[in-house]
Amino acid sequence: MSDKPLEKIMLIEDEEDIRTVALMALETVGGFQVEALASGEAALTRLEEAVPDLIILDYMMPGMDGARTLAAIRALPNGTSVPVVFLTARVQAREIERYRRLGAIDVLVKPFDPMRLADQVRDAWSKRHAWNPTDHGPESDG
Amino acid sequence: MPGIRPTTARNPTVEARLSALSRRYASELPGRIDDIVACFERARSDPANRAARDLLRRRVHALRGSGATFGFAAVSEAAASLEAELDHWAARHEDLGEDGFRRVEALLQSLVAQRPGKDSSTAGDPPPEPR
Repeated sequence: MSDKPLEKIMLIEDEEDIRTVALMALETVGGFQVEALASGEAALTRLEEAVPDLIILDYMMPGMDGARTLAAIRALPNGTSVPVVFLTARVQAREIERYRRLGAIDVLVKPFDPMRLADQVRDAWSKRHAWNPTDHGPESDG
Repeated sequence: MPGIRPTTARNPTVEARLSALSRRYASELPGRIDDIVACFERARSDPANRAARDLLRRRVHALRGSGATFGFAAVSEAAASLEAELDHWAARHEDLGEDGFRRVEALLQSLVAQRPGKDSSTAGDPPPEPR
């Protein structure tokens, strides 16, 4: 995987407040290009047209939750290798292990500090080298 | 008023936008907590209604995830305790029962105690300190 800098982020978060503050933090503080979407379904439609460098995905959403959204992303022809980071308030050790088995490269914790979020995302981005998309997926979620 | 705490190099534009978001959140917080209380009452009045329980759980989860981001750490903490009890309830796949409802209600009261007053400054966390 190349050492290209992180530029384009897709943020998938159903809570408007969190989506708004995360978008502001990532764009204004982090300097990233961010597309924010409110559901997994909307993200899947958009991903058929354009793939970001990184996806930040809320884990607990009504309807299509984070796990199902990630599985659907991986089923897209252009979604097999895009790094995904879960955004979640559930961060017990067994939960984090589950996120990694599902194929997330890292986890961002809610609630978050908006002034630090961009740095946390860069740190997550740096972990993509250690991640192999073929080692993960719904079938390994036991 | 509780608010988002700038923690890195000062950026007036960012701080102004964060402050505006925080004020809006603070103004809406009493209504969100009231909505959670209403969800609880619906669930209690109809214990077999799984949709009512799920809605209560989602509302509490959302508050847990957002409160501290906007400066209301105590709200997030109270919501986390309540969510843990609701998770325990959901994992057992059974009705909560009156004892269970009393436990949830006690935790709900801890959350309600964090409900800001009309001016959004009479409850909740102390004013933010620069870090």
